[in-house]
Amino acid sequence: MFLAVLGLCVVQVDLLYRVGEPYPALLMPGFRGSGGAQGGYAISDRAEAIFVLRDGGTARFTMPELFAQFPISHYGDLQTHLAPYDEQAPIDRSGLRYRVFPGLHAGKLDRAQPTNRESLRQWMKQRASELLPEAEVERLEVVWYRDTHHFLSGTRQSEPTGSFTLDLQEPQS
Amino acid sequence: MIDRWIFHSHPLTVRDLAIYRILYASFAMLMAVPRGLWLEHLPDVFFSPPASLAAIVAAPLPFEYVQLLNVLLALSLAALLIGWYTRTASISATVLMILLNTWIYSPGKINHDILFVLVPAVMAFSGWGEAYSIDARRRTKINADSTEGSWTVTLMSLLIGIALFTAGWAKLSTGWLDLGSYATYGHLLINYHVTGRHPWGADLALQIKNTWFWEALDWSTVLFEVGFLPAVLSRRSFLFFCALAAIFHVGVELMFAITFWPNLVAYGVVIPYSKIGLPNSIPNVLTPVVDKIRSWPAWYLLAVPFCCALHAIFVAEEHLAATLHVNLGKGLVYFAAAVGVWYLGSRLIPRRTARTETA
Repeated sequence: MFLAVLGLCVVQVDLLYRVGEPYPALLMPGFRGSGGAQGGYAISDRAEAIFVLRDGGTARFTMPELFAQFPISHYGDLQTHLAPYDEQAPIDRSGLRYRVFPGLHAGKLDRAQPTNRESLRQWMKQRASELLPEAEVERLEVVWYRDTHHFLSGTRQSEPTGSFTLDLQEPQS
Repeated sequence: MIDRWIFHSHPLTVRDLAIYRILYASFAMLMAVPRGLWLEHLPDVFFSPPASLAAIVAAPLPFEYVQLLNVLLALSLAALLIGWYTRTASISATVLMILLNTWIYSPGKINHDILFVLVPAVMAFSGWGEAYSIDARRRTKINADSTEGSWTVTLMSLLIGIALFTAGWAKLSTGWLDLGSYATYGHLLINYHVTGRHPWGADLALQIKNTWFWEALDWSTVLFEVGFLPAVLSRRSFLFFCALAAIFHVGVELMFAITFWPNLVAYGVVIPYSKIGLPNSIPNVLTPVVDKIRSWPAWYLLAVPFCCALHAIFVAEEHLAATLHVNLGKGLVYFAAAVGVWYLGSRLIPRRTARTETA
């Protein structure tokens, strides 16, 4: 039993390097790297969701507000689905890992697929109706910022780094 | 020497392990069922699993299956609580938690409660069902003071040591010990500004501009996590590290608002519960209750926790502790830290007394 545990540890380390962190695996949170901190400042990326209403008004929400129905630990991963991306960028699904695990990182890799885009649009429409029950929402704009936190002064500078837009109106047939 | 380490380093009796079984199952019933009901609202686009069964199946789990797995988990944990078909219940509890977690982590984030999940499967072979249980009622020859199953505690301690070591190694190999990295500060900022957790401890800590403070946190975290693995070799050092871990987790709770109670339940495996002197009033209250329910049929005993869990799954749609408005996870974190401080104090104070006497 003890030898089996050690053997499985070797297998999980191998999997870790080949396909990323597997589940289940005997691992604890790594908090790899310095979290963006280096040389007196720290950098973090943050997103803000802006629902643009039909009357031209806007309603702003933080990611925790947008994803409130899911566990807080998932917010960081969920918001990557709202990052700017190049729809024409080729998707690399080559290699053994995608043959063994055909669904590996599927939602993130296949964001541009019509079914996934529609799935996101439907969920976001539902979420908009919950957050803004009276409003008619036209589209979602997610604006990304890079925040630089200065260690000694305690100040924070923000600059927009990109945006992602999702039309929430029903497609015209 | 290896045999001595495996079979004799944690001399816990069947009685100790049985009390731990009841505590484990109680926490799991109160805090870990239901799990993943929010998957009902998860759109397909967020299905982005790591390497796991979910990535092999390559499809989200229909919500009816999530409910079914929760019902089976509740049944397993209820059986574990009363010690009925304990070995089967233990193994199925672990398998069901892994299955549920596989899809709970399908958005891409793994929450690392693996030690808590593995406890029943490892302890299934410990004999933790052979006291204070229905199984014990059905057997004639049981030695509740036997320590034969304590090798499973050594195995569990090894798993804990390896798991914590992986966390330390990930930090060590990615620059946490570089002077000027302030990794704890960086991760705290992300947790505060990006994830959106704002505990008062973080408000307070982010005011601290002393770079030595942050560097010391980086170093102590890495040394503590890496040191957990060699500490497995002796019970004394392992208990010392478990006590440190309990204090570490309260720090994480205060600064990061991450209530990592599952690990604390797992560390609890090493405690000799039957040796803890309880106030006389507790057995006085419990004995008549236990005597009364001792004669109940097993099904009656199973029905009580199982029905509570069914209510949690289908009616309340939240775990029992939440329904009872009891923040059990946080309570456990603070209680464990207090026990950790007491343990470390009790280890250090007698030595000082001895030195004083010598002087």
